[in-house]
Amino acid sequence: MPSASTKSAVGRQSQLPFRQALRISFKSLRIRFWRSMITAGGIFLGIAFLTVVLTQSLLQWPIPEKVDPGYVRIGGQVVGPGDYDVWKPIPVEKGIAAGIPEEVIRKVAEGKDTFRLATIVQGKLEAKRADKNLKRVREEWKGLSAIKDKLVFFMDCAADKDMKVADAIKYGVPPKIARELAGKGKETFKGSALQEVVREQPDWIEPLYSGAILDQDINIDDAVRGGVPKTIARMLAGQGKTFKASAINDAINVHPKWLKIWESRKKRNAIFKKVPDAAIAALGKEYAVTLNDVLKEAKSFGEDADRTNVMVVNKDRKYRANFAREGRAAGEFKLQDGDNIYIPDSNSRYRMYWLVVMSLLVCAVGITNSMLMSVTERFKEIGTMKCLGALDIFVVELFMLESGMMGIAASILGWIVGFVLIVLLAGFTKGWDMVANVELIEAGKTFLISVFVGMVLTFIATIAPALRAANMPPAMALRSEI
Amino acid sequence: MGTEVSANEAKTAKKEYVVRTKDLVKEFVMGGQVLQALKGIQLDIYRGEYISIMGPSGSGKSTLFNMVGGLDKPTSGTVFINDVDMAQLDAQELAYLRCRTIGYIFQSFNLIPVMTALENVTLPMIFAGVPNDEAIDRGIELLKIVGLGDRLHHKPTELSGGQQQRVACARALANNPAIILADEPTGNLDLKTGKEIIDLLKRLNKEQGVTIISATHDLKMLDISDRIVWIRDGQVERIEDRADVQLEVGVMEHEND
Repeated sequence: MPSASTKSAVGRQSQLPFRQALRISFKSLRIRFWRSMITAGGIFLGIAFLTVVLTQSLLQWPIPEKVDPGYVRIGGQVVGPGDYDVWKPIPVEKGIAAGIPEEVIRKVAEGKDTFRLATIVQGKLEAKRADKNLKRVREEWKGLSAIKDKLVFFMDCAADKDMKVADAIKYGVPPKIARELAGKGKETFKGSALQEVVREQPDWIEPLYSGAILDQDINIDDAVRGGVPKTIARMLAGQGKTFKASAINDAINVHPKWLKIWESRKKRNAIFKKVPDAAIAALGKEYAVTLNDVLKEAKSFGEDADRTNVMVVNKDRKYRANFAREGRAAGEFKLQDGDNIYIPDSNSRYRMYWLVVMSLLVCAVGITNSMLMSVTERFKEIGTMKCLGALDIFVVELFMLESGMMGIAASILGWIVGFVLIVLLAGFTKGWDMVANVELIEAGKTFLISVFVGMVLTFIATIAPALRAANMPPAMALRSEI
Repeated sequence: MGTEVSANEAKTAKKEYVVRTKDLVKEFVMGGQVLQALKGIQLDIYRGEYISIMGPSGSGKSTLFNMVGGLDKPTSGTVFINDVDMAQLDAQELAYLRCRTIGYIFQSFNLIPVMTALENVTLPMIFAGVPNDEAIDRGIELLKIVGLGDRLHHKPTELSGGQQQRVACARALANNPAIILADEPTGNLDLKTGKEIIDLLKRLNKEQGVTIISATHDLKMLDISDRIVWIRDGQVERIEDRADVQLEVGVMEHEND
């Protein structure tokens, strides 16, 4: 070394070429492979989570079960077009011309000169319901009438009437007992005699009937075993688990009335059955509502309705569009049979934002923690490098390159895994047609967002500790023990 | 300047200074209290000298070492290396100085754990802009000098303490520095390997003409030092030549405890 006596003897350390830095940082990554993998794992998990949330928003639309042709479902709240009076008024004469029976139109028009197709369709729906309910009521009625005779016999016992041995055997009293009660040669016995036996031997006849004799409380389960329809037994018991045996008799008296109500309702709805489907279809073409009609009316959904985020799913469960997104006008296309119109409430969007923000936070914490640890545990190495002549900026560059490579790789991998995961999940739980409807451009956007977020967070998380380490006097960096 | 220093200056008037410190003060703030680690150190070190800085723990030798090596900035006072005032240097010049003028050897070796012995030795050369092939040739040569010609591609964890320290010596020599600063180079080694390192340093000092400044409290170091600087409570207690020291070994051991 020449012994120069001026400051000019000291040159300026020049920055290493980028290639050199890349080589060193790549080698460093490769050498501490598992450590890097764990650090990258933090980034990976964060990005995977973010991707899941982002992709979930593409698949967020809850797909209701298929809707019968002829009905439109709006939002989660309203089923059937008639419940929701959105349909265009049709002049009566047009309806008649289309082939709808006049009596039907008069009924649904209620004296006005227009009627709504929806009202007819709704009537159809109710008729269907009436059919279904009628069937159920009949079945129940059958159940009750099965015990009706038996119950009367046992109620007569309670009233201490004379009972015939043959009847007793018919209604379930063991023949031997019945004959013993009557005595030799006699064909009748007193009801009280049976009561005494039942008091001593409650298991002797079915609980429902023994309960009836003693006018006891009857358990729902026992009643069901005795043949009482479950719904009736539950109704009689109310909130409790038992009911009075006498209550069954009342129920049997009331039930025929129910049946009459349902039958009359069915009769009333029968009028809609007269409407030829062809007539509805003909008018439907002309008077079909558009999405905008629905949205205009959707005000009455309440202020919560998020009408900028509407989606229509048709009966084949294909997305029609993501209408009116970002303030664009809703599509003016005609709604078809079986369309689902989904109008989320505005809160759902905020919930989504909230979830994205949360996932970003999780992501940030994960990445920052990984990078912070990775840099901090190498303070000593940084100090050593500076002793050997590394410039501050080179140290920072080295760490940025290292974390950058890790960040890209982990982000891409995180996106792939997150995307595949949510797609599989949605596919198995909500149906593959839904997944097939995800637009590639949207999926690409989530990719860009995820990788960008991964990179930015990695960058931010690395630059702070790396700068701190680089600006530290080497003496201090060397002293640090981790 | 102290009287001892003046006397030495007279003796070696023809020699050049390689390191000079003037009124070196370093303060640390610890728990709200100002702690003076160095209280005005005056020290002149000549080219080609083997100098040991001795003193008990906490006497400030490591701090002095850091100041001289440009690893930390003094609170006041100046350090001249080759007559250049370190305080005047900017970050790039300081890095240049650390890279080419000073070689460092640490108590805890401080090899880059992920690099092989050869890569550790070539790293300062890469920082100095030496072409890769040239750096590798010189690295191999240096490792042969320290007796590790057959351990080129071993990682630090695959080497013993003594071998690691020898790699560190080779690394310190990489850019033909004028000064090697050794901070307790034998502190983490057993007697035998410590002796080997000391011998190696002495050999380098003789053969390569490097100035070696070693902070230590290893008494074996005294044997081979040209001069010994005694530091106590952040001040230079005395500076002795080797001849004087040998007579006082027993006394010093006592002092050191």
